[in-house]
Amino acid sequence: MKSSANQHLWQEYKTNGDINIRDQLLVQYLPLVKYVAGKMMFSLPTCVDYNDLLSAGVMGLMGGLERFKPEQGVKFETFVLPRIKGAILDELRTLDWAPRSLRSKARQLERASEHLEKKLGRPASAIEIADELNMKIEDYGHVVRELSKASLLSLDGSRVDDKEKTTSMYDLLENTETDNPQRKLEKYEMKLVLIEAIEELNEQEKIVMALYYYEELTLKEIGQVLNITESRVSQIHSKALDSLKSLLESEVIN
Amino acid sequence: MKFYEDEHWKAIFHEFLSKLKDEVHYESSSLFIFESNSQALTEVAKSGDVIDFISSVNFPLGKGLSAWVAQKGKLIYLADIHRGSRHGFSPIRSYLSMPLEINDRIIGVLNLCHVKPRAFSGKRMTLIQDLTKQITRKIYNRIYLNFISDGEKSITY
Repeated sequence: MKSSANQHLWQEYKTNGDINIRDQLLVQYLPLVKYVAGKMMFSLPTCVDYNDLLSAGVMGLMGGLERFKPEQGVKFETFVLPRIKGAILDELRTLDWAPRSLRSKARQLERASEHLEKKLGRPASAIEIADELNMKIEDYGHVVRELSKASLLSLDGSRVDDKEKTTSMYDLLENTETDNPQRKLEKYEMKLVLIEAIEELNEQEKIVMALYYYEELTLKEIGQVLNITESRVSQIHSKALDSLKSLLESEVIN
Repeated sequence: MKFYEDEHWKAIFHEFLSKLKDEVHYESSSLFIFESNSQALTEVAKSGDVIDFISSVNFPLGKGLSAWVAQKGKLIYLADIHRGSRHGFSPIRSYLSMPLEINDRIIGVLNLCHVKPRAFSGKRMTLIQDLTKQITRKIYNRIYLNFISDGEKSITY
């Protein structure tokens, strides 16, 4: 009975393109959107809004209603499910500020990490994962850093600690007006690492970096010290920054 | 004991820096002597708050920009600098680091700082160089005397 009523609706809609009938069909198939969105929500971070997924899914459903051809003998559900999912994925991609290439690298990293963990019987180190992916350790560090920037948390969310105590993300915000001993220690350690790293640079780079950052001389003034042009100092500065970055990355990763 | 640790020499260095101060009115100064045995630069006299740029950075002859100046034998004169206002450094506007050189040999370094820009320019620079030549010659003679007496000792004994 329902099936014949459905057929009738489809026939009417496809013949007349009546918007009221389209809306009836839309309401009828709406649970499909809820089903797909609900299933996808499980694997998404909490900052993603369920209603955003529903809206995108409805757009996918509407597109399906327009393109569906009942005479081809395919069930509408079969036809529309991938469209709803696709529309939601498209929406997620627009919400995601990380490029797809980065997400793809993240999946590669995850797979390599899981594979190595099974193989070694322990969590794999950064160097081992980089080796597995035929990547330089610096490149691996770069991807990990980029990925950490792409992860978002909502302040309205909460987290559950080891003792199953729920804490609001607001409560975890740092009070920047108080002294933070950990940050002080980190800064101190970072300074030591930085001093060591500067010592590894060649003489000219060392002088440029030290005069620029310790003494805050301008590039022009540094040029006078080294008897070179301001633009040459700038080049040396950029090169030294790259070298320092690599040195510090390998230090941090190891 | 090194000759520059002798009270007589300390007085000479002090007099030299005082004379310089009378002439060019610097804010701070320091005088280093290069020891060829240890291949290191040693501060032998100072006046005011001693300022050596990048003093924590290592160079072959020691720490700081003075060690680099001694290594290169190159005079550095920054006539109008705007150094580190962010960190509340001393407001130095003129900085001079001059190698003490004689007969192609570096025997020390003189650093001078001033809060005014171009404090060591023109005639003042000529004056500084003239006075520095005198102390350089004096130190060189002393080092040379040491060298000769060491040589005599090795011949005698």
